[in-house]
Order: sequence, then C-alpha cells, then structure tokens
Amino acid sequence: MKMRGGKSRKFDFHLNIVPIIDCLTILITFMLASGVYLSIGLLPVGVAAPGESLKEQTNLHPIKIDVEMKLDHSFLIKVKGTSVPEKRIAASADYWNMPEMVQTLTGLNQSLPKLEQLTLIASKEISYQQVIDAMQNMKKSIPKLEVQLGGF
Amino acid sequence: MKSKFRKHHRREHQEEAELQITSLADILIIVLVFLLKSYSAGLEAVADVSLPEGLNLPVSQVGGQDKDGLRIEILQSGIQVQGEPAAGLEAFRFPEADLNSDLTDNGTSINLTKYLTERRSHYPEGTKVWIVGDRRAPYATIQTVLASASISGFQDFRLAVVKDE
Repeated sequence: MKMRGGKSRKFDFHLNIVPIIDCLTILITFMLASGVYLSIGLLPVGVAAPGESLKEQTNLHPIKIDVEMKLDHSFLIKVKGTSVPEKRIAASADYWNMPEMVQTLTGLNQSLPKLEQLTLIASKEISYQQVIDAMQNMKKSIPKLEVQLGGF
Repeated sequence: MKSKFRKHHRREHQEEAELQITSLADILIIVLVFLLKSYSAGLEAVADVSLPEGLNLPVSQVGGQDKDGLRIEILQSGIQVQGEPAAGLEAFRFPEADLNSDLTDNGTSINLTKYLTERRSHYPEGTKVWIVGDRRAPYATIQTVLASASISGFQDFRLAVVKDE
C-alpha cells in the first residue's frame, strides 16, 4: 500500500485461529457424541388385504406370484394367471433357502414380463425378522415390484 | 558479543518453534463438513421422537428414507400410536378378547381399529404409516396391525428397519 511520502508500508496480518480451532474441536466432539450410528430405513410395503381396492388391483394384474413361508422353513411359490406349476423350496440347514428362492424368482421375472404383483404370505408364528429377510430377498430378485404382504 | 549472539540465536529458535496450525484448521473443517454430510439421526431427527426402550428393529440391507409418517410402534406389552398407548399386547400378541374374526385365520384389533378410526380425520389423505415393530413379534401381530390400519382408512405403509450396510 502506497503511503504519503512515497514510502510503502507493509501490513503484517496475523489471524488468530486458535479460538476457531477450539470451536471446531468442540463442534466435532459434540457431533460425534450426539450422532446416531444406527441408520434407519423404511421398506415400502403393500397390503393385500380384503377390500375394494384389492379387488380392483386383482382384476388389473392377472399375473402374480405368491411366496408362502411355511413353519417348516420351506417356501411355496405359486404363480397365478399362468400355467407355471407351483414350486416348493425345502429348508436348507434348518433355515429358509433364500438363495434358491431368489434364483427361482429371478427366473420367473425373466420369463414373465407381464408380472405385476408379488405377495409374501407368512405363517402366523413366523417372526417379523424372518419376514423382513424374505422381503428383502424378494425385493432383490424383482426390484421393479413392491412386495405386498398377504395372508389376510 | 557472545551474549548478543546467544540472544539472536535464541530468538531464531523461538520463531522456528511456532506451531503451524492453519493446516490443522483445514483438516478440522474437512472433518466437520464430512460429519455434517454423513450425520444420520434416523427416526429421531425425522420425527423428533426417540425409539421406545427395549424395541429392537429388524435388520435389513434395503430400505429408503421418508420425511413424515404416522408411527405405529409394536412393543412387547402394547401398541403405541405416535407414542400414545392404543392397544395392549401380551408377549407381542393381541389378547383373544381384542381380536375380531374378520380375517382368514386372524382378526383385526378392536382397540387399535377404534383408536385409528377416531383419529383418521386428523391426518390428510395419503398419510404414510410407519410400522416400527420389534423383530421378535410374530407375523400374526404385524398382520393384525396392518389390517386394522387398513380398515381404518390408511393405505400407504412403510416398515422401519435398521439398515445393515
């Protein structure tokens, strides 16, 4: 900066950033302490319950797949609206054989382009966690469809 | 002469020992921005509520986010709607006396249906219902809750899960 008299004067600024760092450290500590590390998601689900809306839906979507979860940990896959026979998938190591269910549904999805409804029907005593496991596998097999819960 | 040299030398040393904290500030700002971006507060932040104690949500790899919804919580001893008790449960099951016989091999809940029907007009058309259920609950209870909400006029359902990423 030119000063009167032709002499240039150099300003030497020193910003004191120590309090800024203090604030940042406190903010980061607060965020780390108050953050919730459980990431909660929401799964959209349809309800294939008795009622007017369902009757209308059924007429609109003639080809649909029902996946039944049985108490013996087997799946029964029924394809409605076509001549595809029903398929039973037995338990594997006393648990649901999810890989085979996924494989079957993926195959059906490829062979049935007009498929528009996918319903999960579980036995009453099956736990909610197991129903969610099956739902997420069904969703992975046929991502274009919303899984409906049925058996009402 | 000797002492002057020492003083000068000491000053040089003092200047060298200054801590360069600008880079530290840069790093802290980046960490703060990262934390702000990835800050996840789940349902607590979305609906300004906390999950009830003892409720273990099911775990899933899939699941999206949503802004607002009517929360129906399924606990071991009862059903809560937006934090208010709506129906009783015995070990995650509806008592026989509270069940209608209007489903195939199950029924809707008398108390829950009454509670939801009375409050249906408080919520706009298309209100999403979040089922915040314990992973140990049997499917029969989930079915009863869904059917009761459905006949009370709610149609759009979301199941709350803990995302396993």
